[in-house]
Amino acid sequence: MSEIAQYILSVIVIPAAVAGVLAVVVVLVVALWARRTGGARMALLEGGLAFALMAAFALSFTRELGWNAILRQLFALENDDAPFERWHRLGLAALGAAVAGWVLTAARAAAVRGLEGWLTVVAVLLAALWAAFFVRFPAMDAGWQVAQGALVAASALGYAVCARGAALWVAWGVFGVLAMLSGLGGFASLSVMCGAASLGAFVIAVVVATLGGRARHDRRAPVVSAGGAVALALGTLTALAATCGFAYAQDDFPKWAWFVAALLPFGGYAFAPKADRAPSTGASTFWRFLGAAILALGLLASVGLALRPDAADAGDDGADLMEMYG
Amino acid sequence: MKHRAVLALSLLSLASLALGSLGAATVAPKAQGAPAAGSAAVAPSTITLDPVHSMAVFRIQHLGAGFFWGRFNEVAGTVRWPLDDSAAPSFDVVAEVKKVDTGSAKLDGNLQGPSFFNEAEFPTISFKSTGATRVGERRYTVTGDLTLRGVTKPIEVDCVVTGIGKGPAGQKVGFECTFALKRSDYGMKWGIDAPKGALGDEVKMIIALEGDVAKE
Repeated sequence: MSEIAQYILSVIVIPAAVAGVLAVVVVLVVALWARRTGGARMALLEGGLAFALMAAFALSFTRELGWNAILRQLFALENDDAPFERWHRLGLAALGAAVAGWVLTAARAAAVRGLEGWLTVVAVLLAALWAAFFVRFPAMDAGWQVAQGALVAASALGYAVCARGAALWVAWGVFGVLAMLSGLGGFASLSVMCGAASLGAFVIAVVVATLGGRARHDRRAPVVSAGGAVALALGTLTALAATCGFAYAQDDFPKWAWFVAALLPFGGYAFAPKADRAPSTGASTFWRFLGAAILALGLLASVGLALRPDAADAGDDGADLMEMYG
Repeated sequence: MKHRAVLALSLLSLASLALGSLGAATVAPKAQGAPAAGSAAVAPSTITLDPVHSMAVFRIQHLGAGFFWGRFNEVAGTVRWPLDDSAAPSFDVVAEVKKVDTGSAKLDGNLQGPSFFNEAEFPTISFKSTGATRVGERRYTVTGDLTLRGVTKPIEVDCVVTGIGKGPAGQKVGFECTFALKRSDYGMKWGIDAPKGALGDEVKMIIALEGDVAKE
């Protein structure tokens, strides 16, 4: 196996596979818990899937940079003279979002009926505040910090409301777009991490689509409800990956693209009437995914046009990541 | 007989003169900052580096095969050195990561990114000398602290004074310094183990400096 294939296996395929195994375990445990109350089952399902999604990104992060990149943010390490880099917050953010997903679902399961929705709103606002104050990328002033927090809230809203039952499939597309933007922007590490998150979301979506019905005993109900854990985790990581790409992108890269990428889940609203009238969960998921996918393709086409070399420097260089690395 | 004695004395004195001049031409190695034997110490001149004619060139292996070269344009800073070579030079040099130039704009952007130099967080590379040992005429082994990606480590640099010239604005002095480093020591690990062997760990550096001697 070539070195580059081993690398892709290590930082993309294995983390996604681990996420898939976690998702299978979660779904099967939920199936065995069929006689338990619905709230507890849904809490386990949502919290577990959010955890699996974030694990794909976090594992890719640690395989790329090592655990020390996360640990040195929490305490001083012996014999560690590597620098703290602000973008390493992404690894900690993924782990934080995984834990936050569990906390939210547990709180919703235990909450008085009627308060569940408010708990989700509070959780998203807390995630936005945390992102605004804790994750600070270079050259971001207070205004940008607030915008970053708002983007976390908006992206979570997009996954929860517009992508709804198709959140996992939409995440597959959104992180795929983020991986492409990172690659085009010369940020190889972020590219592979988003690639792992994208493939992880795809694997988990397939697991849920194939095994989820048995776990729920109701094929028509959406597996991932609008309960918020998955949307919270996805929204947080999507927005932070996008603002990270924005902060470190090369000067000639169309920076607006990062913000559009974080808001791609809103594309799920494009065919909402068709999705709502769809005869099955699968059809509804398809229509919501289609809206986000069309928006994603439009974004990639626009970025391609923006990066198109003009006549003056068309022959300047054909260098890209592959030219350098492989 | 008298003539022979005069001739012998003359030859002896000529030989001793020749030996004496040879001895004067051989400068004994000096400790850092020590004045040359038999000469008065000259205060070191401040040499302000000319960014246009100063650069740092680096070499790194690609895919275990060839070496590719790049450079940092516009290296700036100051050197202090007495022009009579009566003491070792001291260096305070800064290179801007933004000025990396490989001949490919795309590659330059990649090198400025977080996987390599992380220009957004660590915009400069700096070297500040802490000492020097004379190893020959206008040749020194300079020790100092190299700060790269926020990591500061001591290194040894071989430095040669390449020449003292005259420009329209006054005297100019040139230096050439070479050293090698392991980029992994500075947290720049992409491409060493993952993807394995994409880019080498050892980087060879050649720093070409030219500066203007400050007028007293």
